[in-house]
Amino acid sequence: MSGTKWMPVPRPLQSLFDRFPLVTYDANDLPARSPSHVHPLLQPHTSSPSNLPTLYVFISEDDAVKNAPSFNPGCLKWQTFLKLAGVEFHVLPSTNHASPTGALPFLLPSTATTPSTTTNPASTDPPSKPTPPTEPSPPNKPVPSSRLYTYALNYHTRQNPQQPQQLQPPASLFSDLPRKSEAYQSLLDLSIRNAWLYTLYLCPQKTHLLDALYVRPTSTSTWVQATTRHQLRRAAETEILKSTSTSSTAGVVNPKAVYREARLALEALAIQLGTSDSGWFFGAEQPTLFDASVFAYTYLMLKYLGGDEGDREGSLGAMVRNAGKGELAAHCRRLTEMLWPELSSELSQ
Amino acid sequence: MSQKLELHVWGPAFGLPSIDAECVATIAFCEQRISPTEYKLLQSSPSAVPTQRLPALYNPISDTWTSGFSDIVAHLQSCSGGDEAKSSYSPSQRADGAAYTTFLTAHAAPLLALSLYVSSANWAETTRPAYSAILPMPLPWTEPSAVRAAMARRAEHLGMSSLDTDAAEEAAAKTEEAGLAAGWVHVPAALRRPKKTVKDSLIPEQRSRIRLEGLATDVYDVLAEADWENQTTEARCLAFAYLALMLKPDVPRPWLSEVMRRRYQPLCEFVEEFSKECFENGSTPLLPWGDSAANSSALGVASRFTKTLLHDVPGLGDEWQRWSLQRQQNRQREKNEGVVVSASSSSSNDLLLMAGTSITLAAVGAGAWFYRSLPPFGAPVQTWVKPLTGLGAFGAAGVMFSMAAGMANLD
Repeated sequence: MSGTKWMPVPRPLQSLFDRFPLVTYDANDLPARSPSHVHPLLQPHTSSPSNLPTLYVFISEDDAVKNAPSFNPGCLKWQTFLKLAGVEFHVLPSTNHASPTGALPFLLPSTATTPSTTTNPASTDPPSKPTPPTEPSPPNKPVPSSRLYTYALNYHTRQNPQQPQQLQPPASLFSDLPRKSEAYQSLLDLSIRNAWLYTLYLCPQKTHLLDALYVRPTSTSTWVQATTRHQLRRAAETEILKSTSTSSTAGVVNPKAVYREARLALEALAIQLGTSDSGWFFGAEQPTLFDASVFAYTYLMLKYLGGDEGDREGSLGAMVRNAGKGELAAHCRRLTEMLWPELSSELSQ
Repeated sequence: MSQKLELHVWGPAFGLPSIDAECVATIAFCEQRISPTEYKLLQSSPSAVPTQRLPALYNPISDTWTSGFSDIVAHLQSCSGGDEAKSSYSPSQRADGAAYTTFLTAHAAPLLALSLYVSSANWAETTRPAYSAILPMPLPWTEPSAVRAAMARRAEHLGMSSLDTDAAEEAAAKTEEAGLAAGWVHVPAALRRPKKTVKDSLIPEQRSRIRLEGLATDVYDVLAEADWENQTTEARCLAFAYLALMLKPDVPRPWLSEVMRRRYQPLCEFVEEFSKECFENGSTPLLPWGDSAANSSALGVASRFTKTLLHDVPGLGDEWQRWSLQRQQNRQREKNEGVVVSASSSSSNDLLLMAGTSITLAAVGAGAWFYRSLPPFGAPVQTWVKPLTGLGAFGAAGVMFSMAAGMANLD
């Protein structure tokens, strides 16, 4: 009352401000790291231990509940590798903005293993046993993808340090591949990645796929979706041009060249796989990180770009099937049966 | 004569037939696979070819342009039937060849870019003069810097931009300027105490020597393991091109060639042997250089210069380049496949955008011109003061005097 004495609020303005607040949002969730926090997507799984590490990837919510493969090759590579290494983890959908490094995937270690990791090796092991010299990252700090390899390597040593001989993954998972594998790795990082980027982002026939995977989850607004799509396209185009052309700043991606390189690369990988006796790359006894990175592309190409829609340029899935004597498709099927047995039927048809 | 294939490449430098790795590789490939009577080499620059990228191959029979090493190799193989290459190598050789070719493009190219283009000292002492020697004036003003920018972008992910001291100095000057603008106490430069540490007295290459050596060994380790005698021709050509450009140029900061000479002797030997085998003691007179007079006439150079200037216009240049390249690509595809490619949606959008922009600009210009031609506007009430003459022009005193004078007059 005293306020209105020297400065009365005009009636219409008063009624306008009476309408506020228009919306009251719910209180924010607890931070993801707090011990009592359980992500809503993980709640149906109360039977499984909730203190498992969580891997944040590009994935739809339905698939995340089923722990299905991610639709992003970079994420799927690490998801596959962690599964190969026997690491148990949850998968949650996320975006690049959530990651401390600005790129997915990243892993949030579980909270409950903290005490055991710090006390066990020190108290029970004789000094002769080499413990992991440095923890890759302190517990509860997110592990970026660049350190996931070390994380997986140390995972079992931390879980049961008393029985190092019972390591779940055989040592061959972490064995060194020949130097030649780096040359073959560049086939994946350059040729096959460019073809994947071109097909998914720039190929006009695959716009529906891009929308379904990356654009529609970001927003329901048409304007925001259009902007996101444009930004994604530009980013993909710059990526491809940066890696291939030497002289021009702006340029045009030549789809014919991109697909020719991809066909050559898949052919070379198929031949390399054919020379291995064990069925995994470079004669390894067990699938390695290299197999995981090949699988990340071949699985997604077979799943999303497999259809032969009379579109001879975009069907990378057909290229995978026809490479060599079909070694890559068989490799992909074997890994699927090994890691996602429930999905293998979907792939074989 | 006119039926010869035309291979447009960057000019020679450092005792190699070209300054650019892909051009060297393409020349070596043509030298081994095609007889010198079937093709001619033309010294050029990206602004002179419609694909705006070198090396570029013009096939007068099909009237098509192909650019880039792998595209040209694929084109030549498809011309010659393509079976010969397949039959002479085993499948695993072909697979290795593809892998090493890609590895060189993905990893050797950024490394070479660091040494020849990103490092300011090497660029100013060696690379830029080499470009100036092979380009007609005034092209050295525009094209080499565009190449350097592209190369720097290519080596960006290695995180060694500190080698570019020009950019670092520019950034330092900018922060100092910002500090001056924000602060109110200004200490003149002469009175400031120089904070010279050991780190400051090192050149950037010395400061990051360990990381640079690490980057170099990562690449050399993989390449040194390959048996280059038994690789496919294209892999050998590309490996030679990159390794020779790492080894040969006489640069002031030779970390790249030092690592190779000290620890990877087989790679150096491979470069020497290949050079002998392919270019006859490293000299280049046997290569079928053609007369590139058409592109270096005064008019040609002027149009190329204008083109490169247009590409440097911020914002508009990129769009213009993209649009012209897209048009060129569609035309090529029509020729190759004999079908009329309808302008894809993106190019028609760009056309629409350009038309819209030009119409807007024209409308704004016309409006400005119309406005200027209108009679001048003014205040609603105009006051005209009759200039006073005589003593009245001296204000109040003048009036007094004039009155006095009037009185005197009356008297």
